[in-house]
Amino acid sequence: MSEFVLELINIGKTFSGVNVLRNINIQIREGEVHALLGENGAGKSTLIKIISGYHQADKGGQVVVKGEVVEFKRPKDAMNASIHTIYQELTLCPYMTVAENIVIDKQEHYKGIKLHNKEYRQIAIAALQRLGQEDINPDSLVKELSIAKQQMVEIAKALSGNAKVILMDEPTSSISEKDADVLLGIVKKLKSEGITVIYISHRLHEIRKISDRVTILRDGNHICTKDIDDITNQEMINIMVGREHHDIYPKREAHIGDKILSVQQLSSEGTFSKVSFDVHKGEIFGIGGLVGAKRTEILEALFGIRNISTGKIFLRGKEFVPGSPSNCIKNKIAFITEDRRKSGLVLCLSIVQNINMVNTGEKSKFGFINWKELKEKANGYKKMLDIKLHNTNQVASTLSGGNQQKVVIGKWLESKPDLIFFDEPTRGIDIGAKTEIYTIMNELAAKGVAIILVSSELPELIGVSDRIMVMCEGVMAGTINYEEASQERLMYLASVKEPQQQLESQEE
Amino acid sequence: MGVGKKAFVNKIIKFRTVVILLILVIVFGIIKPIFLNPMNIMNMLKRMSYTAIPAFGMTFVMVLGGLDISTGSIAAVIGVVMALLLKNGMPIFPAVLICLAVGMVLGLVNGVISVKGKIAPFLVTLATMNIFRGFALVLSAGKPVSIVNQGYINLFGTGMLFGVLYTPIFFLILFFAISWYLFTKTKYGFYIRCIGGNEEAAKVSGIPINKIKIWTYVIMGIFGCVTGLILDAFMSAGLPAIATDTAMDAIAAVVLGGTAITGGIGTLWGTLGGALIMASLNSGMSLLGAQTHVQILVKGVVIILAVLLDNVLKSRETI
Repeated sequence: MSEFVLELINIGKTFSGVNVLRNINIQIREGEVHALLGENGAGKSTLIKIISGYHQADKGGQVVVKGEVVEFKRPKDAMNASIHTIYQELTLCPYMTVAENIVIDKQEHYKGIKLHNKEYRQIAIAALQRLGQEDINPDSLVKELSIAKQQMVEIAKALSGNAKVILMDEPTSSISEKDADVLLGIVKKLKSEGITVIYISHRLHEIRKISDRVTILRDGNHICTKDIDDITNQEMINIMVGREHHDIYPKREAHIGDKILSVQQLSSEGTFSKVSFDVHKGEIFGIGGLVGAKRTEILEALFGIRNISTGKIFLRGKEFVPGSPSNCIKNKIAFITEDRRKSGLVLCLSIVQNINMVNTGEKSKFGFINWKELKEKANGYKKMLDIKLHNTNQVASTLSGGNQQKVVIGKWLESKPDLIFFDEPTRGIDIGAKTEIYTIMNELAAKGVAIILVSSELPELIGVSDRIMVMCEGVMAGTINYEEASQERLMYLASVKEPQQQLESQEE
Repeated sequence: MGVGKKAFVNKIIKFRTVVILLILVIVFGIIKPIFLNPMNIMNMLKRMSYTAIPAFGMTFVMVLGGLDISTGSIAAVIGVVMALLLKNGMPIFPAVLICLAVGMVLGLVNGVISVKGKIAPFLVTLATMNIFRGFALVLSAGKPVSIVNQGYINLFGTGMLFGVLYTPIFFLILFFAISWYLFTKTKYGFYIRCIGGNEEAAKVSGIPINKIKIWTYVIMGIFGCVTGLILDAFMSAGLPAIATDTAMDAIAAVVLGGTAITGGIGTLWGTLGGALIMASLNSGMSLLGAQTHVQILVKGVVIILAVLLDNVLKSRETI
């Protein structure tokens, strides 16, 4: 019998040609709390999904449970090996009761025609008691519970499934501080019962409180595994972000002009509050923060998609109410959205059609479209942005990620904006295409266009922006000039909520 | 798969409607040569008009990502209204204008309830299907309203254009041309495809989603109206209980033509092909002496087979 409850040997994972995990070798000791740490996109969630049987590792990788090589083809296989996962997005059925949810994955309890209600109620009650959550009524519907309580139900479900290893993917990201403390208590309790916990979080103070060891991933690589007492917070941050400044960020001379946008004390109820910043012509203004920091939401509010509860916006010196996307487009604002597949492109339409989607009205005479003319325009963008395609009548779904992104950029440049929001413009595209997109942004800025860049990649923010505002859980954590910006400083602002901010956000 | 074979398969996928249609025509043509007789083809096209015309409208609705199952009821209301107007001595032209207005209003009702009330179009039109049908029955007191105006019957049913073309076939061609132009050459048609393809992207791009949706149901109302006018002429009466299959047949033709039920993808040529497939089936089977009951059964089977074929071909396309 091995001393390790779980061993990952040489795990790699490639999604449609993109290598997201490489050579991961981790050994998890029985009964430890093992923290998994890394920036957004470091590969933590993918790794968790491989352990839990949701994804399968590339050839050559092995998952070893208690000395035996296993092959998890589906989540059920992992559960049968006593490995349970609490995903970031909870997987309960909202319109079923707590008890029903707890037994849902244990088919022996409802074999045959008859449901053994009493039996499974008992199982649910026992599991909840083991967690000290007697106050959760096994008969209430899951949708009536708070997120924190739903998490408890997930844990109870895992426990009653005889879990020996529990994986938790950022369990505290969507619950309050107080609930987070309760959860950390539960993790300790699980540990005292001999259950192994693999815990993913960005929050260093939590990790320090509960973990025995910590593994840090960066860009899909396993950087180190250390005892928590052998590493300081600062060291963890340094290792997490410690990327070289590649030459992928083209140099540029910023010529910062007049103020074009001024946001004052802008709040959107329930998402972000009292955000203020200015953006100037020719400037690239970066907004950084972790997942859940509400960066995209600010852009949505400025583009008329999200409600604004208080605060003012001034555009070119005049007060501006976004209202609707079409009003913003009229006011020369463009929004290159985060997910090109979800809200950027119409994948089943051609490149010509996608590029001419904004302001089609202005380009048509009495509603009639001259597609020949528009095709010329599309060809222009093909040249200007170096979009690799056979024919602009090609359907957008046939392009690679980087080229799709260029089509989205082309579509928005076609509306002749002088203020452009770039939301995660380089997510999921290769390095070469990234550099091209930075060059495009620089050229736009050189022409006097103002740019707001939202990015989760710190090197990108630092490499491209003139100033960077960091958000932390819906409030501003600070604004830094390009010269003073370091990844460590940004990471600190993004992940450590200072007491002063906490007070402010509680006042709201 | 070799490049040549792949290209060939992709060609078949693109022209699958034509392929199915050709097979049907050849099979029926061999078994019953009279199937290819010009008179038979004319008759077939004439009867096809009241399935194909609403199917053109349905193409807009379905590419938009919506659905309208109330079309037959709209046609019935129009049929009764037209018959009543003629009966009361109104000349044809103003009566047609009034009918068009009524059709638009009924479509507007569908659109506004669905968009403003945020109700799935299937549910809205399920309700209005009953409401409009009831309306037609109430207006006519449940009885046929006969039409004696021969001018009207000639104009929409039995008349000939240039001595060769039945007027319903003329309307079929006219509405196909209008629909095709709207769909492929105008901002409106383009917006429909954007919204059906990715509503989120359309919204961010500043496309007036609600306006376009409502307009589409209004246009569907017009197509339903024309269907009612033609049926009136065929029946020489306004029948409140007619056209119960119209919406479903139109949907079937659209689906046979390769329009995605999820929206975004579809062509009017495809819909025309789908309507021709259904018309050939009906005509061919009648010539073979099949009873109507059997025809209905076969129609259902063909729809399933066509959609299955679609899926199989599409999964190969991605290889």
